[in-house]
Amino acid sequence: MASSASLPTSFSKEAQPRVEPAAGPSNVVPTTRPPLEVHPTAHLDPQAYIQGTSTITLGPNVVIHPRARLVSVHGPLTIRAGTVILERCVVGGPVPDPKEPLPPPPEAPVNTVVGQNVLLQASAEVRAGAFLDEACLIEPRAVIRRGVHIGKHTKVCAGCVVDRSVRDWTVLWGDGQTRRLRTGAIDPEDGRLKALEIDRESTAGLLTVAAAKATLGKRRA
Amino acid sequence: MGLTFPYTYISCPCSDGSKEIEESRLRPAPLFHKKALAEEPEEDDEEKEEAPFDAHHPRASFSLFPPEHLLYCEECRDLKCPRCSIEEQVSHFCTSCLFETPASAVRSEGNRCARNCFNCPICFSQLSVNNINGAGKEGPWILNCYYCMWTSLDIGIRFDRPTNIRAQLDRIANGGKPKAPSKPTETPDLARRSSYLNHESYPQLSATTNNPPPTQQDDSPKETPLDPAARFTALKAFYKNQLTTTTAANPTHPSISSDFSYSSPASLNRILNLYSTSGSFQPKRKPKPQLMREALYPSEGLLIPSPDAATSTQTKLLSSPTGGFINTTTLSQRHFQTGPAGGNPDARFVDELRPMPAPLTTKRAKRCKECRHILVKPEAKPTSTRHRIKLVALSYIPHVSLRPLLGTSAAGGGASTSSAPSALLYGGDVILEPARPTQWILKLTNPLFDAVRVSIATPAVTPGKYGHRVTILCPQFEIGANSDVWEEALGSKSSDAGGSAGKISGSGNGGVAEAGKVYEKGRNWTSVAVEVVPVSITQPIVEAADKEEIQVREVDEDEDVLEIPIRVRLDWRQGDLDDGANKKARLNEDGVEDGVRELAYWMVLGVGRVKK
Ligand SMILES: [Zn+2]
Ligand SMILES: [Zn+2]
Ligand SMILES: [Zn+2]
Ligand SMILES: [Zn+2]
Repeated sequence: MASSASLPTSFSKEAQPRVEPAAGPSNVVPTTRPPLEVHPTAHLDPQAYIQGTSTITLGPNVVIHPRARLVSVHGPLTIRAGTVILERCVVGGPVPDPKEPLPPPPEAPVNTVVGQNVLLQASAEVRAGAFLDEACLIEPRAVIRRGVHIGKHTKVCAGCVVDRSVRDWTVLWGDGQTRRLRTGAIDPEDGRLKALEIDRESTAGLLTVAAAKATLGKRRA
Repeated sequence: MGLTFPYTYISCPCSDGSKEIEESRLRPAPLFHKKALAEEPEEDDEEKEEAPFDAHHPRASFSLFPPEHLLYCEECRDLKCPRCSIEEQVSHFCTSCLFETPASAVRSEGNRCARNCFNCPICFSQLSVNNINGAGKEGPWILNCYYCMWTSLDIGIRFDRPTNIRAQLDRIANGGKPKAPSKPTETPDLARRSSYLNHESYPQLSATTNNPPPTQQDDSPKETPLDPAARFTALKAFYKNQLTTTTAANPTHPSISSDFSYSSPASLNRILNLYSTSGSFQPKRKPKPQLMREALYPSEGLLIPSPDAATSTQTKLLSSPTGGFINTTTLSQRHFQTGPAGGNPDARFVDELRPMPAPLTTKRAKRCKECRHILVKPEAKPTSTRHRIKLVALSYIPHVSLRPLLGTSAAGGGASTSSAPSALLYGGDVILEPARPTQWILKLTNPLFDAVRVSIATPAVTPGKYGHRVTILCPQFEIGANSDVWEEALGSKSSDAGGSAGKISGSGNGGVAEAGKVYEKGRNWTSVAVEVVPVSITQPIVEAADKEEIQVREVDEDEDVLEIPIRVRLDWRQGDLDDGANKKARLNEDGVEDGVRELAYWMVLGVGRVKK
């Protein structure tokens, strides 16, 4: 099993201090719902699927949409501030077989980190052990493989399967091997991030209201 | 090729392929046959026409078309394939903004949109005009690719206004500096210089090509470097000028004059000189031949690469902070830059690429190649999908469908065809048992508003390597007019009720596959039974194996497909048209005044594959 040490050395220095080690309590009683550390400003939708044994940490202003799937079977999951994870995304996969009981926590857990202000669009998949640096944009059905480091402000276009690390400010498209560097994109990128923030706040509000109404309705029923 | 059975193709006789097939069938004919042909040319035609079409001929596919690809010319009264119709442009428009470009402006705009439509030079997707910060109503504005995140800032270009981007872009070079116009204007400076350069008194320049005069060094910073297209035009103009001056100086020297146009004064001069001096070979006192010189100044198209160009390219390639080889252009990216719309097809690095205006699309009309009548004409408006004229063959020729006849009427037919319906249903291959007769229902549906008499003929044995036996049980019949369904249903309800009941029952017990009788008949359709006896296609292989043990001939691809060539002959009397002029035109036609239409063509009907 690859640990976080398999990340490129230049990044592991930065990455390691922020990643919390595998949480202790989950080792004692393996429940279906893993220990959660959710920041009060984060929105974890009640309809999101959560599965695993290690800790899942959600930073401030994180929005997890309904039907997104967070899996901490292979190791702890850290999702940093301002990240948005849309429907049917899988973070920390592959998803364990639902017919079988959850495996015990792995001996060498791998850290999965999704950095700040990342946007995972619908059905994107981030495998366990991947590291997404800040302000990445992962488009629908793209797959980030285990142990891959995605640099800052990188865009992975729809359907790309990324199996090797990518430097900052890169765009991947086509078969995942066609790439370019974004050289003059600082100003538009600022604009994009601002728009993302506005969008995130409004959807978070909507989802909170919707979730509250749903629970209220359930209680009445 | 994946075939879905059954299928129909129609042969257009215009192609050389179909002619060759006919000829090849006539070639093995004995000698007396040729004589007979010579004596009676009419019969020759008749016989040629009757030579069955070989669907497995190597060139057969060149003349076969799906019926929906064919047009019908009312004047020639014949089917027209894409090859015997010609296209002409009705309108030019941009597919992204749907604005029409007048034909007069198309060429000057390089066949591309002159508005704000651009394609990404990196990934070729559409660019959008955005505020530099993504939102807001104030500039500066940029072109933005939402797919690969390319922006015009990557090549240092921003715009003052969000409209008329094309005109703005034409004035900005990569990097943001104003661009030299693509067409070099004859600056007074250039005119002046060229005039004194051509002067005799100017020092001999051919010797000093390597070191330009120092006075020009002072001028050069003022001159903006030309872009490649402009440099080419400048060089061309320069050398043309050089050629004419040197040729004028010694007109008898033919090798110098590469200006081949005889209309040019220099050439005329030279020719006249040739004639006037040809009689006497006495050499005149030759003037010292004036030598051509090379371009010396940037305004003439000279480009001296900076001494560090090579090293800077190397560092650009090798240094990883700038991206190195990622930033080189691909072949398709360079190819995308072509055209007279300001692209840079020589770009080596992505920062030399230019956003390309969206190419225009045309709407086209089709004309008959023979009589030039319009067969298809779409409305010129880009947003309209309607046609003014659309004479497609499908609204003239009957639609053909084929289905297996279920039942026990044919000996052993039931067993072999029982698998066919499921195969038909799932679009799979229809497998035919060799040497087992199968019966099929051939249904022809009439699209015309007039009743049509049909005669279909097929060779008893299909031509080609494998002669499958085919019999059409009823070769001549009539199809009813495609009249209004409601009119018929409402108007003659009582009389038709029995008929339709008969039809319905006809499919149950009335339909009998009997020789000379129509199998079923409806309002505008008629179906007849066809009996097919496929021949085994494995036989030749067995023979080959007998002769040489190991050599087993592979059955060629699609050689096992059973295709029936059918000669279809239609004739109908065109119903009364209320258009008087049209009627007159018909009356003027030689002898045919009653609106009788005839149409004959070869159709190939794919039935299925013969089991190997
Ligand atoms: Zn015609
Ligand atoms: Zn044709
Ligand atoms: Zn346009
Ligand atoms: Zn692009």
